[in-house]
Amino acid sequence: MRLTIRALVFLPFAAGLFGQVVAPTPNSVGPTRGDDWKNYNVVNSFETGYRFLSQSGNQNKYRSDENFGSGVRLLSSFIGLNSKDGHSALFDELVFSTQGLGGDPYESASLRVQKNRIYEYNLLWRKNDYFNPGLTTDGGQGQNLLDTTTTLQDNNLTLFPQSKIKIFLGYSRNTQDGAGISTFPSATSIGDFVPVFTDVRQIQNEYRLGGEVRWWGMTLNFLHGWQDFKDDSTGQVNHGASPYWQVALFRNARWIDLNGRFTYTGSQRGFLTNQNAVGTNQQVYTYGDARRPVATGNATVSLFPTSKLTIANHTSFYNIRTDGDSTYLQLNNSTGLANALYYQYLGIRTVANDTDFDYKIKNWFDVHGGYEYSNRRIAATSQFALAGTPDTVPYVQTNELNAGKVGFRARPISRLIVTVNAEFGRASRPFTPKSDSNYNVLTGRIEYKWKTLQLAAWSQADYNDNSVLLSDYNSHGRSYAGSGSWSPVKWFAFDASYSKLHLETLGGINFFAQNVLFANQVSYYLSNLHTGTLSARFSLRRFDFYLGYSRVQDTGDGRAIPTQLVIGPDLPAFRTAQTFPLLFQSPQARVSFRISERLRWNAGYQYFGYREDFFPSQNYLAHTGYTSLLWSF
Amino acid sequence: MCSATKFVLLLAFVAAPVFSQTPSGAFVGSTVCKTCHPDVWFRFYKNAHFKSVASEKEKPENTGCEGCHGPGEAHVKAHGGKATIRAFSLLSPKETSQACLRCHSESLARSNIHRSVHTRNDVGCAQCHSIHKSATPKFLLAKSEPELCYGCHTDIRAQFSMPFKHRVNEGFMACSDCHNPHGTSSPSWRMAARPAMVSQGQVNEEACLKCHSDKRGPFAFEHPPVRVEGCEICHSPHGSPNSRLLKRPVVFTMCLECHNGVGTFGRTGTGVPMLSPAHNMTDPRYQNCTNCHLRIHGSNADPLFLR
Repeated sequence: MRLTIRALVFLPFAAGLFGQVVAPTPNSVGPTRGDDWKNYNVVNSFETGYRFLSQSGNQNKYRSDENFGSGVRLLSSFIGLNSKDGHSALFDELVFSTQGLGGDPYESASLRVQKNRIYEYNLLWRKNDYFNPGLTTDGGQGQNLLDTTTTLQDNNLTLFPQSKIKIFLGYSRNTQDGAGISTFPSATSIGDFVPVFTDVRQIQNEYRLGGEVRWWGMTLNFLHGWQDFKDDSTGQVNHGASPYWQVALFRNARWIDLNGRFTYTGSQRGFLTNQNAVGTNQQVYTYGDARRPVATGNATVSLFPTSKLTIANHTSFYNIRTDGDSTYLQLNNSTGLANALYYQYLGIRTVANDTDFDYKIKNWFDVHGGYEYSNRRIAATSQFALAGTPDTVPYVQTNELNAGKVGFRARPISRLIVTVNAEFGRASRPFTPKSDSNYNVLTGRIEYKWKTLQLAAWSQADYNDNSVLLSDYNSHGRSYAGSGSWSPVKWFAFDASYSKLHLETLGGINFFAQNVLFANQVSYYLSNLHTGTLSARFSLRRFDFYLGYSRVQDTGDGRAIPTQLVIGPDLPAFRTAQTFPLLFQSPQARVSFRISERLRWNAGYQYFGYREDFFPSQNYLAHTGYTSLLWSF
Repeated sequence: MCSATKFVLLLAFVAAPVFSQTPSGAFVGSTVCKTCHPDVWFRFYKNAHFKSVASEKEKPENTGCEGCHGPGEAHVKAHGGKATIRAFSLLSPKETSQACLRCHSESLARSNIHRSVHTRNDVGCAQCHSIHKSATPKFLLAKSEPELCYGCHTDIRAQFSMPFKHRVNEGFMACSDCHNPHGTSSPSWRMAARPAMVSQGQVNEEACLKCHSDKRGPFAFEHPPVRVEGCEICHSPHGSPNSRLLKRPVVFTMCLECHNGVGTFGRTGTGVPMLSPAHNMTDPRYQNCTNCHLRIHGSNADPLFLR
């Protein structure tokens, strides 16, 4: 009995310490060793309760960020059955768990059933209430809205999981349904857009069949999948398939690892959109096909010539060709006919080779480094012409990236680990002004662990300069983070973390304002993002308490009002767009009372407060909480 | 040395069996172990490793307690002691991993483990997995996700505290939905080796598309940076203070920073096309680009992603 009580006290500290959602309750109920039933041992728990919400301010923003509501919930459930001798008739293990059923925006269920040596089945089902009001942080000017439900499920069955020959079967389904408002270009007035209601209906089904064979120390893994996608939301039909293949051959041995993998995906999608212009006789169709075969390959050789040295060489290639034709057909009073064919081609071929080494100079000190060469060739064409016009010649560009990595790891004393890594790269032909061009990343980490005390500090500087004539782009990001956790006694645990991200980017921009070209302008964005979390757990007799606090604050560039300081172009749109001070904080508290070994009463409260300094229209406050019973039979 | 001899020697290397530091002595069987370790043995049937015991067909070195801890004869004769058996508390992370990979390397998901960032930084199996005191019913994790990952990745923990984030803290997703902590092949959709340990969706594409299947395409008109640079060119995948995980608070500055029409950038090498004069950037109507360019990830009907 004493063992059981100790375990009950300890278990709350084992899970959910950093969790930032107040419910479900992480505590456990029931005998820690479970109950015996026939040839099985059974562990179960159910948490049923009521979640409440009181919200003020911008409801759309709240639904976009958090979305918890009110109502009765099965906050969590868990059933585990384990065969005691491993020879039960139908299954030797069954684990079933759920979360948030009954109306939470994030519902999930998972099931694993397995019979030793015969099969293993895993199911993961998830449902997400997705709300996208088209907001942006500058005051919510978006006009597109989605209020949909997304469900995802993955089924995987492995036959003969402990055998040298395994068979894999799988099925996944991904759907999105709901209401939406979108925009459509006007057929009668170029540049004007009209809102359209949309019944969102997207379905993707995927079927998988594969196997794995082991012989002579080698493993051959192969997989064939069939994926079918359909989007018949209002005004359009998209229907396509993506069959794919994967073959992998690998071996891990004492001196050498060999690993090869080849994949091929052949995707195709046919489409048709329809647009009617209200009040006119115009109707616009676009239809066609898009195709995209993708082939990739990886080959790795890892050598371990001595126990202190590891050398790994990795070669990969990636070849993707996207082409498609899209016919634009405009009917006007059934007499005028304009028919144009758009055609685009985008081909990307990347070959990369990298070599890494890791050498342990001393037992407490090792160094590692590497070099990577990548070569990417992009061929692209686009055409707007009447059908039958010859294709244009693709424009071809090649980018070469040379990157080096170096670092060390030291353990001067058993409790202390220091890690430093650096990566620097030079690209000859970046694809966009923001792409990695002349970059260097320096990362350091210190970890100290002594009994239940764990301290860590981390820092990273990530610089990227991508400069061309008339346009400079550089991004300087510096991050610092520290964390500590301590559990001096079994009934108390404390955890804290702090992170700061300083990000400043400078980008060259050209744009028009009232038909005037503003050339060689600079977009300067500055963010100073501070994030902190605090949490404490403690137990007093039958009570378990949890207190937590999370705070995210972007202090921006320090200005108090949007137009106090102008950085970037002297236009109202940019004055406030370059720095966005905001505060998002969420304190919470939870209490769990052990009524009996199999029953607990829980209650919790969580506050969400979101405040933008410059655009208060998006601010919101929310008081959420719950009360529940956690029970086991 | 002739080439044939070299080839035979190479084959010998390839065929060399994996082994780790193994104590000497005979195998005594797991039932002997329970005499002194009843607390471990009596709940071992809930452990995934119990399969090897239940099969009753495995060799002694591959089953039960001695499958991991090595022959127990010397340990029994000495009446215990960590020096007489393979005690994982005394092993280095590398030695621990070697012991585990003797069986667990035979999986595609772990075929890149020796070149993974975790292995390179001396993160061994026992730092994430707890064989006898697991906190999770699956995978024998020492803590449940994401707490396990947050323990080292403090910066990532901060990203999931943002106002807009993937729902990891809510329990809806797990880090391993997108990452393979045992290492992956290099991300084929980008040039550099970063991001590390991102598992690939549909065998060869970015992990985001495993769930965001409507963004997969193919589209007759692809937004090229999506294919060339990946989703991270515009989005911060873990969390962001900005809606839709965008890297900028407002859409138009993010778009303008690429669409400035200069340099040799873009699909035709003449700069990423800049906006036409009709776009009056002082007018709020034009400041939220995706109002009109709503199929920004790719369109089948319009090269400007308008429909």
